[in-house]
Amino acid sequence: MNKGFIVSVDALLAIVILFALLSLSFDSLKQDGGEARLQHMLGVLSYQSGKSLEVSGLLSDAVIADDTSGIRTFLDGLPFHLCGSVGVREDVDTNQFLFLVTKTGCSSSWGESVSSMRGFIVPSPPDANLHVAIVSVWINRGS
Amino acid sequence: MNRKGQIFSTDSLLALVVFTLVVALTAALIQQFQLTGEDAREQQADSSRTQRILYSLLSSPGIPSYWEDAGDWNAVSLIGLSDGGGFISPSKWSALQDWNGEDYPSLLSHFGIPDRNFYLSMWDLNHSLIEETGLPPVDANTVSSITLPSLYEGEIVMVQLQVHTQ
Repeated sequence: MNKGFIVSVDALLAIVILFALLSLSFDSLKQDGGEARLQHMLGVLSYQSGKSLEVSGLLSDAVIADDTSGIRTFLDGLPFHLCGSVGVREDVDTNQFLFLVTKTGCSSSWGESVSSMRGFIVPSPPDANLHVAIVSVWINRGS
Repeated sequence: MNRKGQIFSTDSLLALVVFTLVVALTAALIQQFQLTGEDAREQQADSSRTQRILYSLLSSPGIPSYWEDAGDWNAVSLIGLSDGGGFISPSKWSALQDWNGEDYPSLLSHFGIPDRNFYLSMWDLNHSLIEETGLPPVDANTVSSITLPSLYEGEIVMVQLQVHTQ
């Protein structure tokens, strides 16, 4: 008679597993939406940072004077929960950075970053040279 | 003889109790999932809207381009603060502050958030407040916030938009 009872240990275990799977699925779906939104926000921030650095002349000034303090001040001024770095190359085709500045207290190994690339002109009379800045931003997970 | 045929045996009663519990638990769990999903969707919509408003403010001069001189706020289709060259126009910012003082509800409608409040602030890189307008989110229930860099009077600034409900 006991064996015929429908709520056996197996059935209970199956129900527990079903609920666990359902919970995991909903949680996963929720996180996916949040992650996409975050990536988009970081993309906008990265683009806007590159634009501000270029238009203000901070990028070209840093190359000419070989002084990255202005860029570091900008990065340190980002909101506390955000990290960022700015790297400048002499050419699109090279992987060699002229300089790479990271926000104080941040490490680029703290997860996925979003980057944007921006070309800018460095005056070098009588010529002008095209340089490339790569601005990366990510969430500060170090605190 | 009749015991096995009796429908309300102890086993059947126990099975009924367990079945009811499982159904109730399932219903509660589904409701919880729905509520969580709705909260997440609402939060996502708030965040996207805040981002869209701030990006539009910083990247567009507005429609018409010289809306700050229009004199009639109803003639403004889109509010933008850009001077067209990547900087925030001081005259447009000043006009936004005037509009905020004169007719805050219509300003909210133009932003597409008639049922919410906004607070727009501008900070220098040393985190000192330069300009502000709107209603600060004091005792707000929900706050959606985004910060983007821009340029104001030759300097890089951080512009923060907070959209909140009270």
